[in-house]
Amino acid sequence: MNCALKEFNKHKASYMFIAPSFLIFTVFLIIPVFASLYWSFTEYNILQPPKFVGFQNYANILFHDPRFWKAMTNTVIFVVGTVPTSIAISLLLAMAIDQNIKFKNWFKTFFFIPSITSIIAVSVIWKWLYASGKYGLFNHFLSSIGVPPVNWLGIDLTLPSIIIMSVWGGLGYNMILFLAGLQGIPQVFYEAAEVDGASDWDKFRNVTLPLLRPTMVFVTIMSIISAFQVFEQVYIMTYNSEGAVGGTLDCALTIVAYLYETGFQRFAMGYASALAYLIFIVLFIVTIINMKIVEKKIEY
Amino acid sequence: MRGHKTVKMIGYVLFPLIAIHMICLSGCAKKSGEKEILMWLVGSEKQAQKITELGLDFYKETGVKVSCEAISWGEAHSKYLTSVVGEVTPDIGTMGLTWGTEFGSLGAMVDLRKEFPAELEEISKNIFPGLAESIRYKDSVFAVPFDMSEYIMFYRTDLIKSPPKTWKELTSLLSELNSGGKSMIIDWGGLGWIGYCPYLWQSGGDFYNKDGTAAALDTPEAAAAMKFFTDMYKKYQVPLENKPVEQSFKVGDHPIFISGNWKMKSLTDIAPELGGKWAIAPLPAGPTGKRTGFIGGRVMGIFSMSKHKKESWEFIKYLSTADIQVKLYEATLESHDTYLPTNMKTWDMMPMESSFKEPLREQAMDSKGPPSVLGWDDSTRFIDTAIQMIVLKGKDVKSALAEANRELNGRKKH
Repeated sequence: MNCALKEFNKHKASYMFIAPSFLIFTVFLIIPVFASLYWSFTEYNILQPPKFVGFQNYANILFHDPRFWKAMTNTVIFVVGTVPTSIAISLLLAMAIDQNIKFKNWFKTFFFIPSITSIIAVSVIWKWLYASGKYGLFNHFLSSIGVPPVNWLGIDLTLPSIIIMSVWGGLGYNMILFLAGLQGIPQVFYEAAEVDGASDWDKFRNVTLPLLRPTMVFVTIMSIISAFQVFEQVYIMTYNSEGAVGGTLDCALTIVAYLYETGFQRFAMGYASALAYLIFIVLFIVTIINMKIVEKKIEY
Repeated sequence: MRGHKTVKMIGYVLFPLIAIHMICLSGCAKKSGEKEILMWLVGSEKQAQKITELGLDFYKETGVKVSCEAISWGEAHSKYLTSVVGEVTPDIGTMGLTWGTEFGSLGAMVDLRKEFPAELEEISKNIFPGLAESIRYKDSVFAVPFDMSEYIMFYRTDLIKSPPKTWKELTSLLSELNSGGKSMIIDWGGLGWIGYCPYLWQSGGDFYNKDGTAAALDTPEAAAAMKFFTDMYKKYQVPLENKPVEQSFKVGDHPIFISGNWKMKSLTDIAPELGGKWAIAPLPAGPTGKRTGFIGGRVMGIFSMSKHKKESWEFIKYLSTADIQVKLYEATLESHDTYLPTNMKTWDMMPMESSFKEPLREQAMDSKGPPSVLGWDDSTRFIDTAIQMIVLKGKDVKSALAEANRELNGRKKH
């Protein structure tokens, strides 16, 4: 005890520096996380005290809630639709920019701009681009080359349209990460490969990809997590005059959009908390699988 | 990781704010004995300013200070809810039409009918009948209307000879438009319950029975209305997806549309060159001969935790008078708000071209608000689903309505 106190006194200043940040972290993150775990076992509408219901919320979600499964399916489609495409394109861009080309920084800035633009603003603009009939810019281009207008935000295409926009919006961030990874690969490996007579494809497959692995792992995990939590795009693209989110017949309802509707429009906080924990469990499992797959140690 | 950053950011923002707030609290303490009421307005900053301004005159008359703060629609509901839980409510709140009943039934709002029966009667007498009906919950009234938005039909006078006055005239107009590749847009509440309710009421049906004890979507009236409404999409080419109404109205692809009165403002702003080429008219009459439309808007009520209930009520009365409503209306002509006064007397005094005022007034006289039944807000999406299943998936009207009816009954609270 005495020893701990001594230790504390020695680092008093450090602890005091940490304190404000720690306090805020506790109040706004740690306490809510545990409070919400408790609420997930209750029926709670904010105004009246929570009523304990055991695993009822979880059971209802998993076995009696078709909207949850619809939202889950849409979310998985979104993740599968955005993550690999976004990684492939951003890696390609990073490699292109990594070459000795002119206007390198200009290109970097250019591709990074969507990442620093508010996703809300981006979604509002894209909603106009996607406008139906002859009114949207995309349909305008299509009609000028003789293709009939596409109903981008109709029941079948809303989710794919949001995927396209999200891939575009996420490119810059991943590209910068890949670029950093590429620049961390020592030139000597490429030189050695060239001496061995490797083609460009060989160099990419046997030098670039393996050495990019740590970056790839990071980008993949982060992309999956953030794709799983997609919300703003869905909200802006699908809310209607009645305040409902998710589009016609829930065609683009994602899991976080559903969580939002349950928690913050219907104020079923217990149910919403249970949903949040289910999302957490799914993400946790996906991340573990991800880590296991790429666990192989890389040593060069 | 991202979460941690966010928390830090919140901290950086929060600390100075708290500090400023503390300084303000100690520095701007009001004179002792002076009463001050706080009002939250769901809407624009400009309108809140105008109300604070009007509050200055109120102060001269009564010695009670008024300050009005704007809160945005998106966060309003949760903000009110948390303020109730945290016991830091304003004295007066303006809010969505159905929220008064929702908060009131939980005990968070003053029952005006119990506290101020005679004066409430006086106010209610002057507001449009449909609005007056939708604020009543059982024997209580928790809020009175602040403003309203109403359903109205817009049409191009150069392309449509006369606006349809009955369902029959509407369908024959639509057939005529269809043959030229044109059609109509249902803008406010399209493919949803708001779009459906005028037809439901016009055919003599309603969402619930008279005393609000059970859902009534299993009636032949509800089915007839649903058939007529969904046929507009299925047969008469009313577009399923959102269209930029002003543009397609301008180019003439959709020379007629049904929306809220606020579109009058946006048409003037976005398509000024159309000025004089369009007009508004009440909705076409249904089988009952009624032209009932939907009416929405904001209501204002007093929170139970207010320490100045009487003063707050005085201010609500003040805002409900015709003189003050005219001033509020005039102020919104300059800002981008749309505000339609709820007091019928105001309508005689307010400056508006009679070619607009009269159809709006006529429609408002025959309009209804959302049902004042607890559990309604949770139920609306089942009506939306029924409509969308009929139109998009070919489900039959009867079984879709029966399903919605079951859900409405299941979600009704007592």
